[in-house]
Amino acid sequence: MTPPRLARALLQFLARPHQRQPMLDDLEEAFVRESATGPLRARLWYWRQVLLGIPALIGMRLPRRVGPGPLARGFVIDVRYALRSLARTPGFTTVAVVSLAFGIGASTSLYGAIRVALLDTLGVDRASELRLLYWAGPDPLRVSQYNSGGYRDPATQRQFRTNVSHLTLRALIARDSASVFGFNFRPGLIVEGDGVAPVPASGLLVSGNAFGVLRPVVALGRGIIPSDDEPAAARVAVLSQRFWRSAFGGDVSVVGRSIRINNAPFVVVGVMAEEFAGLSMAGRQTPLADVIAPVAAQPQLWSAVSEEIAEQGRQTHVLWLRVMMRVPPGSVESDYAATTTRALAASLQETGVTTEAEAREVRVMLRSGARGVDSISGVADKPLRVLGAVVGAVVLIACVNLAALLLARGVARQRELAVRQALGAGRGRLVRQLLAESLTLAALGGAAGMALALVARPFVASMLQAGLGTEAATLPLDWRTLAVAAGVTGGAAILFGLMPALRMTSGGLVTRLRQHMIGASAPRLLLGRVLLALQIAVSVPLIVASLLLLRTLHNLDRVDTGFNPRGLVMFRLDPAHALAGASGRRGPVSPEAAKALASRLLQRLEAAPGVVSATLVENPLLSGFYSNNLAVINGREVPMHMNGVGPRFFETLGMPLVAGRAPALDDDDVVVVNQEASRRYFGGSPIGKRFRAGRRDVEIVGVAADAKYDGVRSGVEPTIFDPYMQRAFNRELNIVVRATTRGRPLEAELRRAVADIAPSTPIVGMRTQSEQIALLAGRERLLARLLTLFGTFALVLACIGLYGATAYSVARRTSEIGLRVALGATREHVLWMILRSVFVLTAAGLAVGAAVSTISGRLLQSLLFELEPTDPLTIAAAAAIMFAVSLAAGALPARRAARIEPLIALRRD
Amino acid sequence: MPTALSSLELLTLVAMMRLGDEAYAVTVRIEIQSCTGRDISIPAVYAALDRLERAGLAAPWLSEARPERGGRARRQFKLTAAGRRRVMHERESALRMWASIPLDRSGRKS
Repeated sequence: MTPPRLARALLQFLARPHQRQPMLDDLEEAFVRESATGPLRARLWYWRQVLLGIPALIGMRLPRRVGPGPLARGFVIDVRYALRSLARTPGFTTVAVVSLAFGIGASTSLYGAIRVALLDTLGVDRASELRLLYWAGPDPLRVSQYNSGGYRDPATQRQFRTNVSHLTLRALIARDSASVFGFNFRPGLIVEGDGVAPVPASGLLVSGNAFGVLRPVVALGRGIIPSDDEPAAARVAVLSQRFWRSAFGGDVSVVGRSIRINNAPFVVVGVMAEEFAGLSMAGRQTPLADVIAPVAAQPQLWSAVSEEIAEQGRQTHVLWLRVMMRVPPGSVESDYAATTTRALAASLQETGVTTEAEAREVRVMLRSGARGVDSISGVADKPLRVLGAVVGAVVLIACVNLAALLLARGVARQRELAVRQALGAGRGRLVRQLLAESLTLAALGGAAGMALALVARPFVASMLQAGLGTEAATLPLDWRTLAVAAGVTGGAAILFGLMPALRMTSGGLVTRLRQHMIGASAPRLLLGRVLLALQIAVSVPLIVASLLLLRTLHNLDRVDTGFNPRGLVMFRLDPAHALAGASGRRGPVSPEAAKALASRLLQRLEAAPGVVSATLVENPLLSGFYSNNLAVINGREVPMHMNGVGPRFFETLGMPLVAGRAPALDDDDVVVVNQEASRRYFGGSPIGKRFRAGRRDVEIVGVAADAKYDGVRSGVEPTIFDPYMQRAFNRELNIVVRATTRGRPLEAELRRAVADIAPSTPIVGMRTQSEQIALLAGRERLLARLLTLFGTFALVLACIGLYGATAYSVARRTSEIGLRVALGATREHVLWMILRSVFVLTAAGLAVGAAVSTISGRLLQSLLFELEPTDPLTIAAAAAIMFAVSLAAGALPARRAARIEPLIALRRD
Repeated sequence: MPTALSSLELLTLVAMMRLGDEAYAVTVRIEIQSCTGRDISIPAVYAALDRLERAGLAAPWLSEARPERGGRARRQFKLTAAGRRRVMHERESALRMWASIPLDRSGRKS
């Protein structure tokens, strides 16, 4: 039997280095002896040893003489007294510790999440010096972009883009190779080797000087060097630590090994250290890098780009590389931006992308690259800021609640404290004792909160991953997190402890000596009631926010997507890998071979049990992705959304055709447009009309009903559906299947079907359409869940607080109530008298809370759907809930008050 | 005037004197518990030993490698000469104080 790991870890953390191992060994020896009493008792004994030893362990880190000082002795006495006093009121102590634990646990977890998602930077030297290049030129620009980012400047509304051509990149690097490098993400690779089954991987292509600029730490072998980035150089790759462990089992002999990436031979030359995982913080579209290769490997790894270059006959207008630079310390950023602008404009002009006049309009923006490309995404930004506000509110609610409870509790001790002061105790000494009690309570709550945060770590991580799409690494649990927890705990203790402590030791001694708990001379505790109203005021925005998000989710669910998402399953695979098959040789994919493969695959899938129909699509619907291109209609250039679709697409997705027909399998140069396109550009009757879509002249043969494309929130844009089979397949196939079965049986059948046609090609990203839609609303769902949880917590605390305040008020007014009843007041009258005070308190809190909600609601605005943050129905619902809670809280004391027998009551005072 | 010892430190010194060569945190703790009934945590004993070491009253030494500790040695403590003198001094002071008090439980001075 081994000692409890957490206790052991705590001891290891707190003990001084030279004592650590001996102490652990001694404890283990004693633990073995204790095991004779039973495993549970032994574990409890161990925990007790560690917890009771904490003051000693901390004390050993402080410089001290032999013997405790008077202050320490006093403090120890105070803490012991506090523990005994708290043990006498288990109900109060439990409520206090649990509410603190909730608040502190929540803030500690959230801090970890914020660190990972918002604050942590790339794992390179001085990441704050890194900048990402964004540029804006004349619009529209006739260029092809691959995996590009964009940014609309809110001030000028100009659209900035990230990508440049390889020629432009070389020009920029030539001017300053020590600071400027190029890169881009290339997800969807397949890595295999001897003893390594084909596994999907995300790639990062970097220019040869990238490692020199970034200076990341390499754990094994070496990084990419400039000589690797030559067209004739042997193909090399560097693995990330994580990928090396998962795919290669952490084998240190991997350096120098030959592997195949997308069927092309590469040699592994190095493995990165843990902290460097690419140039993103793991957003959904920019995953962590598994494999890093030089830009020169683009023909092997990104054939789509090569084919586009071949088709265009030139590479000047194929923009597939992003630019990052390191701004040296001490340099003026605007100067840097200016020189970069000049260099970029010159290159754009030389390569013919812009004219000389247009080149003058080129503007450059250097945005922070400390978090890689995800500085801009902001996907996690908003929700985490909202969460931060929420957790702050929760901690505040817990503290205010505790302050009110402590105040009420303190009334019983007023006399005791007054007596002690009368006997000569200094006010300071008494305040210290009361603060020790608060600190003890806070420490207990803090410890429980830390434990809660620890236990919740995996849940919080997976919640964040599902909600924000980040591959959140395990949340950090290091000295910084502990410091935050300790800080919050200490702050809370002072917040809720100081005021009651000062209050209970102030005022005239005589008055306080005469104070009773019962009867009219008991204090009214106005301050306590104000605190309760404040608590309600802070809770209301939480409840309103939670209701707003729940309604948003409901609204999102109700959106008519324009097709039938139920029963759809989708997945991706790499056709080039499938075609390379047994030979292992991967060449350019000929359209005929690709069409044949696709046909065989779809045929085999449709033969699988449970499958109704199968089709291909370029961008699965509601995945957040879309393609667009320029179309020329009646001489006018208009941007249009496009989606390549396979045979039986409309029927598989349940998207009705309102006119004409779907393209047949061997139809050439025909397209289907949606109703929006038909209305906007073709006067409502587009069948038979011809126009130029991208580089092809096409004829419209059908009109599809309007349907959502990239997301539920976006409106319907004019869209062209062109037959995917007409295109050369140089990228992954997205396959969509409609089936009558679900779950694992269906998944097994689909995998079997694919394996029949492409035995060794891995299937990636299998999910249902419903799961895909849920992913899109991940943030809203996450926030709704958390807000509901915290809102409920706030309501429970408010309920307890109101109950306590009402019960106290009834006790205080017992004789008054007895008198009223004796004078003829009815039970209903008494009931209403008590409940009215509860409602007044609630109403006061609600008024302030509703006002705060209108302001705090703006934080949520971008997350809401078809709902205003000041929606009156929602606020009214929150008010109703609050009143219901206060009714529940006040009901029991009010009933007790109504049952007071006048004779007994009057005799009491 | 020597620096004051806390009650735990004094008990630790006396326990070490009683245990002789067998004195380390585990045995010191058991000794104190069996004689006084006080349940001290092992880290607290370490803290006391640490302070005694700094005051020059105790000194650590390592036992031979112990297989049950994975081949590691035990960190044991012995009294220094100053420590032994201190124990005797405390004993004599206590005996002088206690001498005037009989063992009569009524508390009356006879």
